[in-house]
Amino acid sequence: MTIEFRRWKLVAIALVLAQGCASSGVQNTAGSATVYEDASSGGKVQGIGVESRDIVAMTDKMMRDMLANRILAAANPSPRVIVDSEYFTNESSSRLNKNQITDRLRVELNRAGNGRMVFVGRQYADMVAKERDLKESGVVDQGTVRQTKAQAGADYRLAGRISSQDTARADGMSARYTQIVFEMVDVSYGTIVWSGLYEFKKVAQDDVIYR
Amino acid sequence: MKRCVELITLAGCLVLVGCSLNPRGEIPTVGGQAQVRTLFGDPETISIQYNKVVIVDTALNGKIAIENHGARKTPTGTIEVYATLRNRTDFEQQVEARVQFFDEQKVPIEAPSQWQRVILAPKTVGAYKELSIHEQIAGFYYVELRSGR
Repeated sequence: MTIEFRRWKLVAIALVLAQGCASSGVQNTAGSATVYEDASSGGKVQGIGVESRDIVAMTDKMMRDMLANRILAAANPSPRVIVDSEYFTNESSSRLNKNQITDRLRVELNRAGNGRMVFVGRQYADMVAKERDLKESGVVDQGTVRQTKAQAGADYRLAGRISSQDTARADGMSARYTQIVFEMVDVSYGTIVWSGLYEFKKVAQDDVIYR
Repeated sequence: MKRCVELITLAGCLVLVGCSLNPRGEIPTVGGQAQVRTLFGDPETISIQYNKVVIVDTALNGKIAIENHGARKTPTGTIEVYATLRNRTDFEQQVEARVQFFDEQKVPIEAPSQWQRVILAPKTVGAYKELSIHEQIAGFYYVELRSGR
């Protein structure tokens, strides 16, 4: 065996050794401590009520389901929908701001919908009416976008209900079953064209305060 | 003698190459196949295998079997991904799953879906389903499973 061949053999063996002992290069430690938490995670403080991760998960699920509904997301022309909390009632024992649910759903749908649905901002109707009055009275000009005879009417509107059922034990353990119903109603005909249900049950010591 | 030394060195090299295998001596792979026991890989060292269901939580090792998975189109053109899961234990198991969609160039076309909980009674089968947001053809999907939190 020549010296050259033996040298190359040693190099090959060294390369194999390096490969065999190669680590993954991952520093498997936690990151820096911070006060920020992922809104879609449980977090350090958890109770049996509706929390951020529930709001994030339910609005994501409902959004995806609505975008797969032929009446809402595949009609031509695109239907006009109202998604707000006007007819979304909280009958549960959870203290929450239901606008967080409907606002998140509307924003996510509008961004993801990409024109498949047109959103009517009925909660801004007063603002729109004032601007229209100013334009019609000639105080301001007509703007640059087309003029219309009236504000947009809607085809479908969100309605829903949050309800819950509580059970408690003498030692402080409590359980709460929460059910959230979302429905899109044809506001001309009264039919329900889409329904979504999100439910969960939590069990814990009932010592968390919700504000 | 020299040849003996060479053979011993080579054998030592082969043993050290085994360092690159996972502690159980398995070739790391990621992703489940229907009807096949899922090999538990190390996601941080393995590149994504598309159109797979991956268990990213060691706590689920040996507990959950992925019986089947796939994707299909909905009437509106979005994609529905499904995974059929089987609880192999005598205890209730809670798993969370999420999916990410990629286009044909393997570029993520939307943010991963939120974690959705699937509760599996002992020795039972359950399903995880999720829909895409975009209606364009999604080229690939990647489903991650972890213990329920």
